[in-house]
Amino acid sequence: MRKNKYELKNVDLWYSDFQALKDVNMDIMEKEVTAFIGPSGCGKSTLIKTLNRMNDLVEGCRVTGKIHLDGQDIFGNINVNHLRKRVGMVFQKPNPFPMSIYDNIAFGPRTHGITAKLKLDEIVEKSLRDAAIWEETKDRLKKSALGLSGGQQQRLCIARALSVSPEVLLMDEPTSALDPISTSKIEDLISDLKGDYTVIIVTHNMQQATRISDKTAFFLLGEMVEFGKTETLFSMPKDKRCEDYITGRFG
Amino acid sequence: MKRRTLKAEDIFNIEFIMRIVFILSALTAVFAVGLICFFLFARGLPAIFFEIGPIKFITGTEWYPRRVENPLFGILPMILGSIYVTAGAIIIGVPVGILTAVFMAKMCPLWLYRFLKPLISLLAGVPSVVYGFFGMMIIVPWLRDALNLTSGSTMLATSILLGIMILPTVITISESSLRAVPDELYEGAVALGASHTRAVYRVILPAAKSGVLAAVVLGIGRAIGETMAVRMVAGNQALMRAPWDITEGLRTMTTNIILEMGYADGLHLEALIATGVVLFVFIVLINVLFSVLTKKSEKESKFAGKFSFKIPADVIYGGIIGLVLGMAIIPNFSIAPNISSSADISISGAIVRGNEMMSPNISGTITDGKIESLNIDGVEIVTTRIEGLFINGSFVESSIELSGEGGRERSVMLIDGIDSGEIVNGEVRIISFYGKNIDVLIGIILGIFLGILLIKLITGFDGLIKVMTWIAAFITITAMGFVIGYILVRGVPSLSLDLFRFRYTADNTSMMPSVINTAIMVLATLLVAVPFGVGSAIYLVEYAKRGNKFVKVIRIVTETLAGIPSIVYGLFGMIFFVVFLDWGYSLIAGSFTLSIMVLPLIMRTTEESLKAVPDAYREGSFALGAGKLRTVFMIVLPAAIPGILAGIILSVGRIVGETAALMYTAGIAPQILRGPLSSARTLSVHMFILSGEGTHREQAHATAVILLILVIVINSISSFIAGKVAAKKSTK
Ligand SMILES: Nc1ncnc2c1ncn2[C@@H]1O[C@H](COP(=O)(O)OP(=O)(O)OP(=O)(O)O)[C@@H](O)[C@H]1O
Ligand SMILES: [Mg+2]
Repeated sequence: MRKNKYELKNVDLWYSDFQALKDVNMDIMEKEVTAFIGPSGCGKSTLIKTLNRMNDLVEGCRVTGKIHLDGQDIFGNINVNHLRKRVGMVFQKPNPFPMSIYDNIAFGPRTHGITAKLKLDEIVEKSLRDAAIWEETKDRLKKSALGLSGGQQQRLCIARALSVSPEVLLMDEPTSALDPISTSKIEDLISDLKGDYTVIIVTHNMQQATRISDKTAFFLLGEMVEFGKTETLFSMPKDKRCEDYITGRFG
Repeated sequence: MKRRTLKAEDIFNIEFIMRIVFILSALTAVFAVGLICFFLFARGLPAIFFEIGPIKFITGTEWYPRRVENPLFGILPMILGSIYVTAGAIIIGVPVGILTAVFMAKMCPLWLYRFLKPLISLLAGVPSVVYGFFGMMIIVPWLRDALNLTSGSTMLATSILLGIMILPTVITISESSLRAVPDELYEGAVALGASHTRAVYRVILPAAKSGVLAAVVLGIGRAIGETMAVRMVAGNQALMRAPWDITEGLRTMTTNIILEMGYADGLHLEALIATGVVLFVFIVLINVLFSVLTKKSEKESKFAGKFSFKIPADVIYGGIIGLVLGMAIIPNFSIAPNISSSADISISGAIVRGNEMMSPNISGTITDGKIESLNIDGVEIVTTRIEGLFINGSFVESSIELSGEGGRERSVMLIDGIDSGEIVNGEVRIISFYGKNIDVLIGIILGIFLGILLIKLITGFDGLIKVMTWIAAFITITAMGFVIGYILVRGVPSLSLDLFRFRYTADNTSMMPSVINTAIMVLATLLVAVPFGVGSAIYLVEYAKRGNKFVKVIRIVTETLAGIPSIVYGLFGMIFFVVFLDWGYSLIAGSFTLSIMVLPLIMRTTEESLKAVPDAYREGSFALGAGKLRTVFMIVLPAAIPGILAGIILSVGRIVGETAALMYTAGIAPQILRGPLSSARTLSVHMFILSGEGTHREQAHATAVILLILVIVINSISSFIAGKVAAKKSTK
């Protein structure tokens, strides 16, 4: 029996006076892929960044309501660095650090106190394998990560996120900066990952949502309008606005 | 969402501790400025307000600080002096600089650019003593001969030299603001059928105006703050001058301080500090002007309609070529100097004999070129022989044989109140310059108009400015090539192995100890300045919230610090480190003074390079659960290292080239220093001292070569680093 990974209750979020999320309520199941869709500016990135408290870095950002991860309040008495170790994140644009491939992957484990060379080697190899980029990089681990192609860089960033053995993987439009071949590699990768990780992905591409996600949430102007099984949402949307969006009538 | 509250364990948390460390380093900049202000104002203001009187101080025209009875402390001559030479530098340097910038940005063939660009950054790094030396050896004698003056150390010489010195600043900043103008503007103009020249001058230059104005303001700052170079060519007479007295010597505020701070005490020292306060106020005003100008550039679009900055191209650009033509025409147009051979002389001044100074009243008459009578303190003396130069108020070396006192004496006379002239074999020629100054002015103005007319007649507007741009570039290249070429041609043959012995002796003025002292001074300074500078930049960029008041204060403070001329740092260093803390002339007094001086530079470059690190790196690190400190040290700082290094290298350049701030803090001891409290002469100071000693000209030339080589090395390192930064950017 699967259980809820995240439980969101009455989540409101303001950037100074602008309310970017309005009363969001949802339960996200563990070891599933959940997709967030919706027109530009509707708050998808905002919500996903709230889930590992990356919004703390934004000045003037306030959140009210409850977000529980495995029953624990993420705004409560919790170490935010530890939270982010449990909830990894992959960004829209690949952002490898300007260092070697090896050091990119080893940065996370080192951050969390792993220094033994053998252990690090093991983590680096496993993460790169899990992110399906081991074969391409195993001979150039000491070379700069900036020399990789865009698609490779993004898979490296996924490997980097996996390196600290997170439970959840947040991905904000991870393929929007990539070519179709790299995109399909990453989609395959996400499907492989979902048995082990809870994946939450923001996408603009509805085909992508149908291809890889189990559940889909549709957002509009900061509200979560509809949330359900991906097939149901795309074949029989309950809400008129959602139907308009997926049939391309607006957005 | 709950706000973070401070818990007990936070206090011992490394993140928390480091945050405090960064805040503290940011506070040091504020503290340093506070300290400088406190010491300058606390000692300068009482002198101005209670002892001298503000009106008397600012508008007083006489400066006799050491007269036993009724000393006078009027600094108006120095204020005017600073204004004159700065204005002169602007008149000479700015048109040439802007046109050269246009040339480099828009008209320069690539091969020439590749040569010109490094040349200009080289000249930006050449220490002021080297410029001063060049002025002293080339410009001053040239003016003396060309204009038939008794001394070439004049307002004109100073303006020309400062004009050359501000060229690199004006050119570099103007060029980059010209390059920043979007190509669409140019294309738009060309699409309307404008020629290349026209598009550049009517569209691109006006679009870049705020950057160009900022360049001019920075040039003004550099000129008004310059000390050593001015000291070496200005003549330094503390006398009132009119704006057209361009062939007279004068004294500026900066030189007033450096000339006398070594021996001043009591009210005299306080009056010098007060001079520093006035200079400080000038610099703050310039800074305000600068920030207003740069602010305006942000609001450019708003004002674009209201202020249209039309350059009266015909006049300004025409001026340059006219100036050149004018200078060429002067000899033909100017009437020969007024020479008369009869006059009454009344001299109030001083005669220095050995270490003794006397202030007798000397008066007499000269008829038909012969000294008829000469009274010293009312006692008639018979001169058997008197030779030398006398120039309004300046120290003149002369030899007078006085019968009655017996024997021949060398003495230095400070003469004022009469015209200049020379005495050869008892023959006196008194030369009146008033007519001549006006001739020079007329010559130049005439030349300007002739130049404009000529070129405009031949070529029309486009051709005119095109020709002028080329001429400006030619002048720049010539002036800069001349400076470098002179040093190399005269200096390289003067190099000898003896100059690199580890001991300095009276017979062998070896520069090796100074080279070693310079290296130690650089290290000692960076040891203090880099941690504080980098730490405060980290605070400003990584920790402080946007719009934080404290951040604003720090920014203003660093801008102020950055604009203060080095002589003010030197003065502060002397009264605080040397005297108040009683460190004496010492390595640490010098290096702390320089640390405060380079702090803003390191802060600013570090800030820029931290800001240039993409936020994506920080996000990536935070998303992996890394804390702030780890993110800053492992991700952000490594990515910013090349930029920070570039800032450090720039600071090294400033330290190596500094003289005014070191003379009276680190002192001038010529040996390798023996400890933190021993006095140490750096290479630039060494060069300055040698250049003042007529018997060590060769060694001075040789030192200039070594300084030049140091600058070249520093520049190559920094362009190597800049190349790395650029390469990194392009792979992103
Ligand atoms: N740092 C911020 N400060 C203020 N407003 C912000 C900030 N970030 C986002 N917003 C605003 O919040 C709203 C939601 O933004 P968000 O980035 O979450 O949208 P999104 O759904 O991810 O859009 P897109 O598909 O374009 O990425 C937008 O109106 C945006 O302008
Ligand atoms: Mg988004």
